[in-house]
Amino acid sequence: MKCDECGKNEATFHSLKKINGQTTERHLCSECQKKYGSGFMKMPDFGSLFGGFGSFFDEPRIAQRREEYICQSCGTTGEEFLRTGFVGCSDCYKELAPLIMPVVRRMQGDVSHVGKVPVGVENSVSIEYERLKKELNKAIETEEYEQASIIRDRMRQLKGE
Amino acid sequence: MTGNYNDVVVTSRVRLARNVAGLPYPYKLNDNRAIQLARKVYEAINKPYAEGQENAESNDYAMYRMESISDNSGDVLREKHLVSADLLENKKYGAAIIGGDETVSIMVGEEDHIREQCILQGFKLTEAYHKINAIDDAISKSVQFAYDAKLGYLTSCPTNVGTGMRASAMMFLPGLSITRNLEQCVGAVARLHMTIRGVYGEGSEADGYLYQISNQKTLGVSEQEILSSVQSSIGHIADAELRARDELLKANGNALKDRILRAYGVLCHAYMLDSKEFMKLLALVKLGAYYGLIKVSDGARLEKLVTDGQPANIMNLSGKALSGEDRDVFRAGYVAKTLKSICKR
Repeated sequence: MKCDECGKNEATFHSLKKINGQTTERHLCSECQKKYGSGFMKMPDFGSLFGGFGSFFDEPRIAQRREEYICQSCGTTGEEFLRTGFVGCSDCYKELAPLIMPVVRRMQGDVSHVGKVPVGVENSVSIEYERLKKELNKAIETEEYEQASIIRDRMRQLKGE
Repeated sequence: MTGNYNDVVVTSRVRLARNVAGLPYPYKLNDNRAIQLARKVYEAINKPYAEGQENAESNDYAMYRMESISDNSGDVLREKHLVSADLLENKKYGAAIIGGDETVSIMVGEEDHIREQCILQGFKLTEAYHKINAIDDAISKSVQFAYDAKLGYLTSCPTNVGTGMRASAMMFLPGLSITRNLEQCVGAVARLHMTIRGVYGEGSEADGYLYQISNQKTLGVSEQEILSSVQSSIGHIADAELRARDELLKANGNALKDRILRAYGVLCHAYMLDSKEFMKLLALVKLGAYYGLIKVSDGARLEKLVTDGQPANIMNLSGKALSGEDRDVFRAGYVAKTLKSICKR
């Protein structure tokens, strides 16, 4: 069998992928496999494929692979998320993380939650942040600005900034 | 002229977005589980009062299933900002639980499973937060929220993850709009990660000069930090608005007074009034009340007239189904009667 990519060499790499019920076969020679990597899927042109919808969140860096993501819990696909901007369930945040997290980072910054925690759940970061916030206010009130700046740095660290 | 922020901030609103662990989000949930969830939330809110807990308020919460209310009743709630257009569209499995005084409303099956909100008149963002936070605690005792240590409360759209909180104020900004200084303000608050948009459309003259300002970020900030940043942005805009109102009167006093009193005259004597004209003229009357040109005995009633005059609400007040023209006749009569009972020149 000849390589799908160059059409000259004998294919040594074979893969079968099932996406949305459609099976895609891929056969590459060793050279082309190195060039495109095992994750590579030859796609016509994403512009024409999804151009009609217009992506809600354009993420060119990962656009090549967004079709491969599908949430095992609710069936939401990566393409669906990027087109609509909505996830289908809580598990999507893990299952589609490589697509969702860059969007979260761009919109909200690369930070962690420091706010409220549901009744019965423990989150030491939020508790510590709240404590520091109170300390910070106290330091500002008593005009201990050096101390305030140290506390601010620790708060930033907690957020992950 | 000395004004205070309550002359600018019409309402303060805080909403919290919550989802339930282990259940697909509303866009993927088209069955009775959404209705079961609404019942569970309804019971959770009534529980503290039923158990006689201290500080628990009796508030006669009512549950409205979107499937079983009429189109007009749904629109009445939407015009009062108690349900969203989105919830009305997803009628079949949507529900809203609304407190008797219409300050608290909990939508179930909107973009997120649960959208808790509290709206209070005037500049009362902190009070609105405390009220909705207590309700959030009550619900979280019965429902396990989807929560992640790093991302906080998980939401249908990543723009809401973290606190799931949007704190906003509806602001009446005729001064900044007429003097064309609003754009500058929009730019300034955008740098503080705030959003401003028109409440009714673009926020132009015909939309009553009403704008909503709210926080953009929900992650990496605590609820208190969101409240204080939104409050300080509201303060900046309100200060600018009050200055603009002063300048407007100084620069163009006679023309402005003439416009205001003509608007008052039309509202008191017109035979027909469509909603666009109503919004435009009432905004001028509100401005006239601020300047003391028109004496108003009940400011809250004047403010409530904005909602009363909306299409679905005015039809509801008439007690019958009215066509466009008949509705405009009824609106004109209702507005004139109300104004004459609370306003004096």
